[in-house]
Amino acid sequence: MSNIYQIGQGQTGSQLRPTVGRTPQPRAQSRAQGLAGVRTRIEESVARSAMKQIEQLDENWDGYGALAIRKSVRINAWAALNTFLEVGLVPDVSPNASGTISLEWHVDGTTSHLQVGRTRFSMYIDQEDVDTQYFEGDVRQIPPVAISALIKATAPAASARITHSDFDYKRGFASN
Amino acid sequence: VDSLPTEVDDSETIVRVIKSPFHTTGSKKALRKQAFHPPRGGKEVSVIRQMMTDDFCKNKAVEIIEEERARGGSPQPAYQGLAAGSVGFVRGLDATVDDYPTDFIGHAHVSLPEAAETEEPPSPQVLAALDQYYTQMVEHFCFYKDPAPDVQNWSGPSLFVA
Repeated sequence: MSNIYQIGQGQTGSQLRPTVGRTPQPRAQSRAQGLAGVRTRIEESVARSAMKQIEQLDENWDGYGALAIRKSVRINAWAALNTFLEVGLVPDVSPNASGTISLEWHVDGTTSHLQVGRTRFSMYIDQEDVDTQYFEGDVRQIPPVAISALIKATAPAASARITHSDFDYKRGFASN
Repeated sequence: VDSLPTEVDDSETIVRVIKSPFHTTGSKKALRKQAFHPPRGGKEVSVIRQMMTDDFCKNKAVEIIEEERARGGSPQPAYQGLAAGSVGFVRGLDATVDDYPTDFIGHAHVSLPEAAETEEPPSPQVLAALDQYYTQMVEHFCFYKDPAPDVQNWSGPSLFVA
């Protein structure tokens, strides 16, 4: 008897379960979708926690002379973060020594990086076998076409397989 | 070691001191790209020449961080460990590696072609190119979380990169 791996929409690889010679029960599918939802909420919480930690950074937070992240940059980054969270795209959030904030997505063969500054943003979407897409402009007006392009680039995996680095959501960034 | 050749050879190993938890990922203790970002407005990244010995790299790292902690600020720099890579590899990415013994013997700089603008991102094309560079640096450099950060001298694996 062979195993049948049922891959439901919204499930992640770690949630795949072998079903031996029978159709998966609706309850099991519902549970898997529920777990994916929990995971997304945890990832959203991680992203927001990272933003809150960035608010606490003083000058030289990296020990190499980094700038503190100015309030206007943080406000712009919060706006961008909320925009992407609303469409289910949970980024990895990190501060940069130059005083900007990065939102990044790594989904299967797609890498995207949005860097937010005081007045401007830059963004690229790099996909396998597709020309890299570039966007830049006023940080207060991240164009819908950029958001749509990222959704398209990460679909169908976006709902379940957005990955970001392993920030520890219980402890924040690990420290000594 | 009292002196080093002023020419940094391709076969040498250079060591980056990791001073911030924002420069490593949470549980895996892998490096983030930001570990190789130059300081604001600059294009040079400080490293230590491993020819000075592993113990020197560790002890100098702790010494520098203690000096910085005395200046205050939040969060304070916190010694995480050391990342080691090959000079030849870095030069292959079109960065330069030069001796910079002004601060101390064994100090060197990895330099990018241009300095980053402060508080504004580079163009998306430059952002993508820099990410390629940083990604390769992260993949190449071996990060060793210090197994005994409070103890003098390096007790982790050899930092030398063959």
